[in-house]
Amino acid sequence: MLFSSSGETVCVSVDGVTVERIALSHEGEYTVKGHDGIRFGINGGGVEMISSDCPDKICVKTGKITDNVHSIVCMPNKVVIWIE
Amino acid sequence: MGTALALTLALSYIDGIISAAVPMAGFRLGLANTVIIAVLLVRGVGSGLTLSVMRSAFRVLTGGLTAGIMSFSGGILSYIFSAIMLKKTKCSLRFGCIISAVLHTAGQMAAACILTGTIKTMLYSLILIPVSVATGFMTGVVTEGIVKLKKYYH
Repeated sequence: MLFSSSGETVCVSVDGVTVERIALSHEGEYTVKGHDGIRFGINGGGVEMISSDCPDKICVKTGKITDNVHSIVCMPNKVVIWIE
Repeated sequence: MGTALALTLALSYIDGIISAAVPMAGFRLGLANTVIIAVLLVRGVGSGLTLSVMRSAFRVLTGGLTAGIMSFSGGILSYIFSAIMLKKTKCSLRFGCIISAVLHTAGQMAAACILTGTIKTMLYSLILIPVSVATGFMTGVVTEGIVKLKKYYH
């Protein structure tokens, strides 16, 4: 997007509270704290939802995000993942 | 009315299947809205409102409570303004449907922000709202067709 830029940190919030901050350089697979059914992966300078226990899987469908404009949202679990 | 409800629910379900193929989170064509707006115009504000609410109740069954709340927040905001614009002003059906689609998205984005507690989510509107203008135009064209068809039944 026009005014997007890349960030360095992957942030994960649950119910509006940031529960995790991981450097984008720490590649690997993670589980969202308190939600064992949600797994996300950090790789190649971006973050993506790998699997989720929600009904619609809109979060997984979002794919990999690499800038600070997009965010991955899992509405049923109130989980938001973004880069800043 | 029963037929319209069945049609709304069926279209809502089919929309979910078709839209899942579009690689864009939260994207929906808004097929069910064609019937809701047509019923609003042909049968009145109350009938359209019933359909809109029933559609959201149906979403609870197919997508869970959160999906239902999302559907309701977008649906009701969109419906109120569509009803005012199409019944109280001389706005065209196509334009009304565009406004309807845009407000549907806006209502959902607001609900998403409130439910997830992050304002960050709102940025996605920058992408979804322009898309809503396009889908709203398309549903507007379809709704015009449905309203014209109605003539043949009377």
